[in-house]
Amino acid sequence: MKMSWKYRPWLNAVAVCFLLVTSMQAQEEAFDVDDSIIPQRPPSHIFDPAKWLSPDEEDSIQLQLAKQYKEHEIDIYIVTRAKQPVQGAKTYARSLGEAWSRAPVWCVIFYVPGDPSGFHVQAGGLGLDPARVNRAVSEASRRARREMTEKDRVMAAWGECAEVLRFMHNARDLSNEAVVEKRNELRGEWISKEKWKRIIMVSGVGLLILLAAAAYFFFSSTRKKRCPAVYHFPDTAWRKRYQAPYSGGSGVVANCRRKKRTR
Amino acid sequence: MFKRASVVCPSCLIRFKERADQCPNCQFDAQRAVEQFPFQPPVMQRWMDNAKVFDQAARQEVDQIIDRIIKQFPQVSLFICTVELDDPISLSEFGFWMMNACRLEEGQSEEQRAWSILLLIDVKRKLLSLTPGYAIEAFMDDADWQEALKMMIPDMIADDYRLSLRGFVKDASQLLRKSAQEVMQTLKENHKKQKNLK
Repeated sequence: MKMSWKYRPWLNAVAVCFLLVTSMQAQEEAFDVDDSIIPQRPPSHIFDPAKWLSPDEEDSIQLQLAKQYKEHEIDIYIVTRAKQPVQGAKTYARSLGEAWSRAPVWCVIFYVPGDPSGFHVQAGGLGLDPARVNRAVSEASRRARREMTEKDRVMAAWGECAEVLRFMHNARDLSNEAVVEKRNELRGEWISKEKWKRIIMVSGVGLLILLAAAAYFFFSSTRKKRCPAVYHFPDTAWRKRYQAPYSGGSGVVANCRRKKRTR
Repeated sequence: MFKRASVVCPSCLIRFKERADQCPNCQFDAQRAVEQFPFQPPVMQRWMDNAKVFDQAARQEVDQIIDRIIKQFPQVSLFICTVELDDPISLSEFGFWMMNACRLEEGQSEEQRAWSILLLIDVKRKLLSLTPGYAIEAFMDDADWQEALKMMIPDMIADDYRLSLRGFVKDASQLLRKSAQEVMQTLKENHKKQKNLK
């Protein structure tokens, strides 16, 4: 079939429009569907691709979350999406929190507008017990869900979560300080004990040496007094007898023979 | 001060109060002893082991003890002589003869001979005899030394001469120390008495 040249500009324009529409749709779908890619941390504490919050609301929340971050080192993000992520809301929220967190404690409040299950909260932090954090955050969420509208619930959720996390963060700091203080105290005690032990040992050894020396001098002097090293018998007049020059003999004899029995 | 109040005849072993040139009982004297033992007298040495009952080790062991005694009592010498004599030779007479007839050892003086103690061991007849010189006998109690000889008997019967002699030498050391201490005490007392008299 041969097409006339006069329809050609119109066809080009339709083709261009088609391409533009399809590429935009593909881009939007790609953002929402490809859950394996964790998006870059947003410049603010709000990531709202679902356009759920108004610019004024966004500004007001950002102001308060920035304050939490600066003053209390709690990094809170409010994230919305048009569709549910494939890996599930909780897993997705946790992945975002772990990837984006810049502070010791983080929290992500994730919401898909129109989702009947409402918002999901994930939180964590360095040195915090995950089970305790989950329990505290669930409690905070439960309180937040008492609000009437979904927006109010999300607003209440970050407020409640910020409070419990702040408390936990401070408690951890306090407990760390207490541990360090206690450790220092124990160390001090140990050092002083060791010091005393050494003093006692050194003085004990010294005392022992002194005692041994004293005992040695005492016994050696008494022994010297008792038995001199050399004895000298006095000279006496010899009782010469039997015309013998050196000895008069003696009767000191002993017989080792067994006496024979006489019957 | 003298331990020995009486004298004993080495031949008849009878005690007398007075010393004499001849035994009043048996007329024993040095001349008779020389006639009785017409041998060439040996040189008096510490070891005169004629019966050869002490080996080198035993001698060394006993030598160490005797050296200690001599160090403590420099005047005293101890001589050991083993013999195998037959009856009826009296061992005390033989000791008397040896102490007087034996030639002096090289470097030994007459004074030293008088401070000597001779132990005679008759291996054949299992007899023991002790003969002191004139100088040392003044400080020896016969009963104590008799006891020392008796202590040798069990080991002698068992033919353990080394053990027997070692025991005797140790006892001799103790007896000499005891005598020396008694002498020192007596001298001190005498000195005090003299001071008091002055």
